[in-house]
Amino acid sequence: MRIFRFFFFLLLIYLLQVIIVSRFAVFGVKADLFLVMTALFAVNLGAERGFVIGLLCGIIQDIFGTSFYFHSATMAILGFLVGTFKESIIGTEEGIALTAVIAATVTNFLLQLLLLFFFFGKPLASPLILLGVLVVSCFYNSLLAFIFNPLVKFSTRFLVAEQ
Amino acid sequence: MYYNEGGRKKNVYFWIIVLIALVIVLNTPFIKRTRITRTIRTVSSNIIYPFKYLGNAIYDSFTSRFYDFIRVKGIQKENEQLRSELEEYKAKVVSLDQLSNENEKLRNSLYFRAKNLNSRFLPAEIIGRSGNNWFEFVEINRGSADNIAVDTAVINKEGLVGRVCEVSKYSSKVLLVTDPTSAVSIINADTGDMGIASGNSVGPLRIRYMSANANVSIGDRIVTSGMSDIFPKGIYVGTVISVDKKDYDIFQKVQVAPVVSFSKLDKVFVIIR
Repeated sequence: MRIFRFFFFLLLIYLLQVIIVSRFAVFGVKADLFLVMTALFAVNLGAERGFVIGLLCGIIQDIFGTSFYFHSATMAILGFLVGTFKESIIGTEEGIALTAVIAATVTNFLLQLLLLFFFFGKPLASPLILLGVLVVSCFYNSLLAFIFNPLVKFSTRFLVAEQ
Repeated sequence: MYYNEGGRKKNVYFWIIVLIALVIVLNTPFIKRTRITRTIRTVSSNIIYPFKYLGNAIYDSFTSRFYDFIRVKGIQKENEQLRSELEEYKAKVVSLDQLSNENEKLRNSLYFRAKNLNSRFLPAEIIGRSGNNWFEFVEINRGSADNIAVDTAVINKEGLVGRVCEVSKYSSKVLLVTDPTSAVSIINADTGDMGIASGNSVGPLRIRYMSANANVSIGDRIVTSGMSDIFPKGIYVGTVISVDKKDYDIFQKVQVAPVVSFSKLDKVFVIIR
């Protein structure tokens, strides 16, 4: 039952991403709300649940995407990694959330670059452009993390609670 | 309750391996050619479409509220209708203008011109955008119910937007020319040299297979060549922004800035032929 609640919650997040968030690209770079959600939920709920939430986010991205199917795997791995290493981050609650999102953004970026290199057989862009995309993504995702962290903390109680 | 963290983590490691294996299997050409994955995507798009449409309508009503204050409702409606018609004509003019300027030495030009003039421009609105920085697509509010098929060209008043890559009943996904899996046969409108424009996600378009002997300079206009059945001839794609020619290469590296501002993409036209 909880997994279905999460799935419907993530479908709402998907609508928010494709209707509003994706309209506001900064230097052509879009924020990834699913990545932010996976990292924030993994921080709050741990590695195992982070894995499941990442997997659900990835499935939604793969179903509604166009090209390669790899988000399910990358997002699940990200959720697991963030949940596993959250204990190593020291700081305030908000600080931990922001650090987790930045770490997830960098890891996701590297994972996707690796996979795309595997699929295309060549790097997608010059290192300087890629670095620019990574820096802007980190800032943009951090901003979203700052905005969505209270919502995640609130919804965690509702979504995880047994009926 | 008994909680074996080590055992649970081992389970997760097992599922990670399964997922990686699935990534490899699902992305093999054999599986990608089958209809299973495409059907799942089409059905999902049909289910989510009303929510997307409603969400967009709510968003648009909020953003246009400011304009509603300063416009009389009737005039606004008429204005929107006229604007839609104007954009359609502008899109036609872009196509016709390029057609009139194209190189007369190219074969079959009259055949393609006639084909293009008979096309119908179906207006469509963007209802969804890709959330990923690597794969560039948009979703439009037209589908198989409007006679849209896969590999139909999509343009706007500025030039080429992309091609339809997935169709469900009431919506379609349009693969933008900036997507790394996109390839468009192009021609230099100023010199007549041909090549293939491929997307680059975050950067400008790259022209592949442009011969080292081709005379390309910065500022040259690049238009579709009409060599494929997807894109009609003469649609404006972009302008050359860099040329890298080396003595030992058989092809030169050319970069093109797309003419369409994809971040501001709002209304498009599907070319029904």
